[in-house]
Amino acid sequence: MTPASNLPFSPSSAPLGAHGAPICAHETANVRLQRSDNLRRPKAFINAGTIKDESGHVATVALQDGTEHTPDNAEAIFTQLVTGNARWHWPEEPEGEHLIGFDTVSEQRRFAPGHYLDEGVDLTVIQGERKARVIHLPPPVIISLREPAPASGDLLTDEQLDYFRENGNNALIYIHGYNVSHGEWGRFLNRQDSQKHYGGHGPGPRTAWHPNKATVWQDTEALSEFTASPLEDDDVNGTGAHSWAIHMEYQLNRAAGFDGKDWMPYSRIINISWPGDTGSTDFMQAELNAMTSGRRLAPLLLQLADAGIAINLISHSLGARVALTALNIVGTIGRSNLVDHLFLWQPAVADNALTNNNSRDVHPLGLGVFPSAHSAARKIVVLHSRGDGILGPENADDRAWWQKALHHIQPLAMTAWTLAKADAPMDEILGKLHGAYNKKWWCFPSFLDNGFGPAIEKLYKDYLPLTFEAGKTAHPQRSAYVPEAVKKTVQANWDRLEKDILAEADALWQPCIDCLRNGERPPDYTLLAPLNHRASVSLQIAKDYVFRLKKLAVNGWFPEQSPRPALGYVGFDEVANEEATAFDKFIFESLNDGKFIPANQSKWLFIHSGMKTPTQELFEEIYQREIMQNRLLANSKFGRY
Amino acid sequence: MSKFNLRTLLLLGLMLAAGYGLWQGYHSSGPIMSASVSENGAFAITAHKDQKLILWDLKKHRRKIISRNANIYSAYFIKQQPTFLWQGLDNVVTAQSVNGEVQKAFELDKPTYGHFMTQDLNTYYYSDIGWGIFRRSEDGSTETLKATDGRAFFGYHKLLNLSMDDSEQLMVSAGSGEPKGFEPPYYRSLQDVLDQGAEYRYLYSVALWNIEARKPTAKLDGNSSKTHATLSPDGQWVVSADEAGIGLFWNTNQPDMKHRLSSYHSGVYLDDSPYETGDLRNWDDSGLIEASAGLHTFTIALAFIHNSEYYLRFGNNSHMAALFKTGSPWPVKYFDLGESPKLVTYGSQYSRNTAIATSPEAGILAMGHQSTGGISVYQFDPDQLTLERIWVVE
Repeated sequence: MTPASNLPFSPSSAPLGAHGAPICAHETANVRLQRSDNLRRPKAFINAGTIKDESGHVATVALQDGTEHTPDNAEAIFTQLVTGNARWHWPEEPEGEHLIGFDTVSEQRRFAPGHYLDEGVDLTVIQGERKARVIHLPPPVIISLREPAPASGDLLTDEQLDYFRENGNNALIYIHGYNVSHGEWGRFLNRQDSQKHYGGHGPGPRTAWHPNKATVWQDTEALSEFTASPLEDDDVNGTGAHSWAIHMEYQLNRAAGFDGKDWMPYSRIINISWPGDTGSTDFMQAELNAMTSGRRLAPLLLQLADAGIAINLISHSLGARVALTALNIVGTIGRSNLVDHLFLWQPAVADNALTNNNSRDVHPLGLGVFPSAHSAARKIVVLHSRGDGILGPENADDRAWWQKALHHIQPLAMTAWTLAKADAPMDEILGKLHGAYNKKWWCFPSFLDNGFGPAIEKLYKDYLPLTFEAGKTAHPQRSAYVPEAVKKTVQANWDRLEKDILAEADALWQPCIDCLRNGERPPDYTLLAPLNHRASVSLQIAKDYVFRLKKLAVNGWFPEQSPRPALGYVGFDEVANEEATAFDKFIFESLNDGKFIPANQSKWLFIHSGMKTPTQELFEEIYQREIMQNRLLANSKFGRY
Repeated sequence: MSKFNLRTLLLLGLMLAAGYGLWQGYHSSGPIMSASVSENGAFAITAHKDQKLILWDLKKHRRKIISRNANIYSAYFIKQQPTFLWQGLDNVVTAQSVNGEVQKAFELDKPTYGHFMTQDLNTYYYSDIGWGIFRRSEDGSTETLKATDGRAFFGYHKLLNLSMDDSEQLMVSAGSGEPKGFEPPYYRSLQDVLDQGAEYRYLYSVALWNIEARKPTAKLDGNSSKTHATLSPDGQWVVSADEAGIGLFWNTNQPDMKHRLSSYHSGVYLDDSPYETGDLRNWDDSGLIEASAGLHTFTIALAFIHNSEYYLRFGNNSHMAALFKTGSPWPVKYFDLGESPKLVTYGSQYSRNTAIATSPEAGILAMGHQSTGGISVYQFDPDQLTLERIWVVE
């Protein structure tokens, strides 16, 4: 009812019938809905929902049986509807295919995903037939590498592949970082049924949700206007890898030109979910998982490349190890320039990880560098920041403090334990440890599971004990008398482990090569899991690995060398300094060649995960300028932007 | 002494200390953000982080605070004139002689992030926060040479460095380098940049401009990340170097022909080498001189020190400068600029590369310090090839 009206009822705006008859004559008509995605490709209806016409009648429709995306299957015809105002309710099936447009001959309407869920889409049933095109977002793409799956499960479906081919013939892959759970999608707020608190007389406060999964970013703060108390971002924008997917996809679209209103150009990205959530400080295990995941990612890269689709990769934090493993593997088999750009955002890998020279690796087990990764990418942009409290600081004062702490393990352990248990974001906890990355090889406090011991002993659990002080590996200085029987057992375990490791290397060498040449998933190394970043492991490499392992065991799983500083913290400062002992000619040359590009974010990025909800400055300077404008939009592509 | 007298003395002492502190604060200055040396080498003008504008008499070793409200990026000496240019926080741009006479003043609609003026004081060129380039004519009209782009200055935390030759025919701009593009069609030509954004909005890389025609004539590619470049006074050479350690030069008559500067230990990188990356044969070290310790190729700035013949390259986190001769890729000599006080070259201060200034005609180099408001001044001797620190104000 308009405010100007004095009538106690609202007059019908429905058109009169063919002979000027009012609606009580029950003139009926059809509504023909054609479903498509935002590329205007027909999409089969799984469930066409309902239309409630002006008489209150709720109509459903019998669909074609086929699920193929043919024009016939993409059509739903509602019949016997009374002419006049009506509402279409669609249950969002399949999940994640949010309604974003409703086009009739005379009008093009655009919706933000989820916005129509409260009231449905209003339409006018006209005499004869109302035709409309309903437009949906394509579903999100998450490739989960967390659980064992058949090889095809790591690849895109034909439908997904078609989407990326037709959406500008390019795909952007995002790989999240350390300690991110798989999580789940967010939800759409039911604004109609949510109620604010109205003092003592009104209805009680209530937050109601639609059952539909929300797979795109929503403004949590703005939605909180409709609820009694501020909403949690996790409820709205999901958790874990799903939350990262939602945020990154939205920001990347926005950076490319998406205005936040018209979702027609919105492009889906490929999100990789991998098991990096190994506990707050079990970094070594997370590294092993990253390499296993990278191995599974390689065939996806080959699939896209073989389909002629341009690939760009963005990784965050330890996601760099996933990306570099995949690129190292495809680079090893000679697939050069497979990826247009690799953006390593705050990479939690060594600053010399991109060298081509294995001998530069200071990692005691030989998993610090990715010698062939460089060849698989045309350009590698390293976004680093001295403001990253997780990856740095690598300064003498800080080290001294921790070294002093070695003599006071108990108080330190208590502090660390308090921090680890604190109800605070992981970044904050790790940040308080003053550069957690630099302590990744430390073997204390053991109950925090950091260092090499726990991960290695888990890996070789069937071969324990491998040291004379099993269970006390964090304290190699506690030497004491070792019974002969224990020595014999340890020796026998080593003999057995060595034999099995060499057997594994021998057995998988050729299958790995063959699989990769055919674009198939290579077998995983189990005992040689720390070398999963290699396409295949020769007998010689396996022998060298055993030697390194023994050396580490003798030292109580305690490495003799410190790790290289994180690339995401120092950039190339040290490895490209001609006078530094860590100088790496290959990296120096790759910088000169313009293949490796440093992008120092120290002035804007002060939080390790700051890019998830970027400040305006970070958004403008990194998302918009460094990633989109200068790189993807200039030299490659992002969707149809 | 009575308790009363003691208390009075203490109070007096405190007052004196506070007064001294205030006096010090009033007269001291923040670190230099931009500097320029007069062509005769007699003066330097510097703008400081605390907005002071200071005129330094390099002969008499005196200084004079010209303003306490100056734009920190606005200190500039007009070529062949005893006149310097600066902008107040009220956006008024003033051309002022060293004896204090205001020769020209006008108000801009925005703060400048680097500027210069022709010798006849009629035409004024300036950049803004978005790396735009504008030309203001004598009648006050302004035209855009390069469109502004958001807040590019914040993005790169660096100015769009501008330089002009003595004949006022050519200009060089340098923001963020563009390494070699992919093979066509990925490579971006000058026309591609124009197509991407009107009025060369996205022309960040080193570019050579024809001032008369008011448009870029060449896109000088090959640098990476934060890039500094400058033009020789005779307009014959463009030299550039950057945050990734790439050093390049071009003859302005052949802007398509890029030449690489030698690094200090490895030599000249050979672009067309058939060998794999990392192969030692990709480098020509035949002309290298013995390196000194502390040289860094990651470069903050370059500056001509003797006419158009010699120029200096300043490495990040280094107190060494490398002397190069135009037309040659090889370093000629290395100079130790002194460890103390720490120079502006320390701490990745690319946004302060304008705190390094020279008079190529007089062979004078003036540099700011890392975190204090002083200045270091050096004299270059082209015959002996020496660079002597002649004045330090801490």
